[in-house]
Amino acid sequence: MTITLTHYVVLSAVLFGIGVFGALTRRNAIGIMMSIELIFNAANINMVAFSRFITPETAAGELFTMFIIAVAAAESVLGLAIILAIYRKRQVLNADQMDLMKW
Amino acid sequence: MNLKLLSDELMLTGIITAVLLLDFIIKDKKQIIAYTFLALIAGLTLFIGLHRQQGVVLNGSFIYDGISWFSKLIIMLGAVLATVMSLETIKVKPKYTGAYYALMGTSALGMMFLVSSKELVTLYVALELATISLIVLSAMHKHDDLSLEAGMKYLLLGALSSGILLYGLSLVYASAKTTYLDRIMAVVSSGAAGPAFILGIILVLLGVGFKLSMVPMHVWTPDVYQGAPTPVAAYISVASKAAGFIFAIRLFQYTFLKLDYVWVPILMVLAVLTMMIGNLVAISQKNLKRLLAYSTISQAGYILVGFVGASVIGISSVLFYLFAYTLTNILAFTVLAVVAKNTGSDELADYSGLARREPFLAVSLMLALLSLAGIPPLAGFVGKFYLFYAAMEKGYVWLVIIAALNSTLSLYYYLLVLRQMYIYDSAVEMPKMKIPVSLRILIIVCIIAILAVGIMPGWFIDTTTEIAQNMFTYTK
Repeated sequence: MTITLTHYVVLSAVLFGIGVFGALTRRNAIGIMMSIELIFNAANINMVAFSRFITPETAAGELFTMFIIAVAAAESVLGLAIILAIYRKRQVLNADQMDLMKW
Repeated sequence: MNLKLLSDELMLTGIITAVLLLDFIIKDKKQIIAYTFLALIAGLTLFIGLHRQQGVVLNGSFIYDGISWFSKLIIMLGAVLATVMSLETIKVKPKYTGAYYALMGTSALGMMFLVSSKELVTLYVALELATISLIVLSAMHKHDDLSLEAGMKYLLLGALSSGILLYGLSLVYASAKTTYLDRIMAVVSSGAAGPAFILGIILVLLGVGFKLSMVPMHVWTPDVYQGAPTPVAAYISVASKAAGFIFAIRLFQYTFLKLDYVWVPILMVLAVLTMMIGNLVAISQKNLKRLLAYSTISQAGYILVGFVGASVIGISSVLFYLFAYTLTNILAFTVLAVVAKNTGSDELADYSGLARREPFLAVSLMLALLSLAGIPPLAGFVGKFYLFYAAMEKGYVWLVIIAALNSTLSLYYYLLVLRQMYIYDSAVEMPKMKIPVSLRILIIVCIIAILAVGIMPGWFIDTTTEIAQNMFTYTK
């Protein structure tokens, strides 16, 4: 069996679905961040696959992916730092307990 | 390659580096850093204002046209005013002074790139530079629970929306086979738009909606405004929103213009929801910062009404409104910051009797709120009138009727604040408030500007119209 573009797109769509579902249902803040990473990776797979199959003569998709990886790393570093600061202060990790402000 | 077109961005990068270096050199008297930063960015704002350029560099991925000139001015104006506010009203620890002002600079840099880039990778990186800096700024008070929680919520929702945006961009890239906006527009104009492209556009719309605090992505706004330091909240509400709208104009009113049968109906429904939810939830708010946050959500709804209007008039009205809104919101947040510094609270109940104690602050807040509500002769009235006119031009009468009804609804909660200040009296006698001279000047300048734009809008409308036309005629 040869792997075609369809396989990659289905994989990334499934990954995107899992990511969105996880981001909306997880209670733990770190779990939400992991789900969001899945969404980023779904976009990455899409970019690389499209670049390989649709525009093989340019590397625009691969380039985009490098930037996404770098930015996602910065975002998770910042997220973990804030989670750590909140945990130190209030011993809270669950997003539904970060509810000092509502409505 | 003409690097002169990048001069504004390069200078701002230099300023940020200078601030970080000064932070190493100066051991005590950290306030010097803040004043240096303020002087430098004020100079840069003046330079941008006097030095408008035109051209494309970096292989067509960076453009300097009228619209980027105008929005850079709004962004820098927001940064300068937020810096003045920070100097007087919040206590940044000496250790973090350099970082605070440097981050203010990097977020402005990200927004400046965002408004002038014409390529998807550049757009994305610029967007994230602006957002990540703003997240750090809102979580700056790390011993304050509310500030940390604001940062957390901003980060989680920002990351989620940028993930959705990226997935949409990947689909757009696949369908158009390029990341350059001009070439994507050529593909769109040739009429080749498959279902993947349309799905991509809808996902991009949702991702952009986060920056605009458009309804499904608006939930972060009140929490971040309440938790973040007041100058940062003012900065987010002004500069970040302006940059987001320019981003949306570049994508939707320019690149995907020929596909307006896809995004215009969605945006119209979302505009109605944004106005309704913003206004209805604002009524029950007890905290003035949250009330202003919901009011900015409904303002985003009004701007979307103009956004779906006829191309040139629509863009021109959005630009004009963004300018009027910048002045008004900065004025409101400055009053809030002064009161919070003196009483330590943003609760509505603590504003009772403000008119008797501090008539100057009460009048300023009243003018800001009436301008937000759209009462003539203030700037907000002309702005709203122009936005609704742009939608009428395209024949969306029902949308304008809903927007006008919403505008009336919003007057109710603005008047609640006025009643608190003018009719109720405070239970306890309070000492006189201290208003720093620089903030007094800032407030007076804002009031004069709001009145001037409201009474003589002609020159401003001519400028924004010229800029909007310039975007369509000047491409290469």
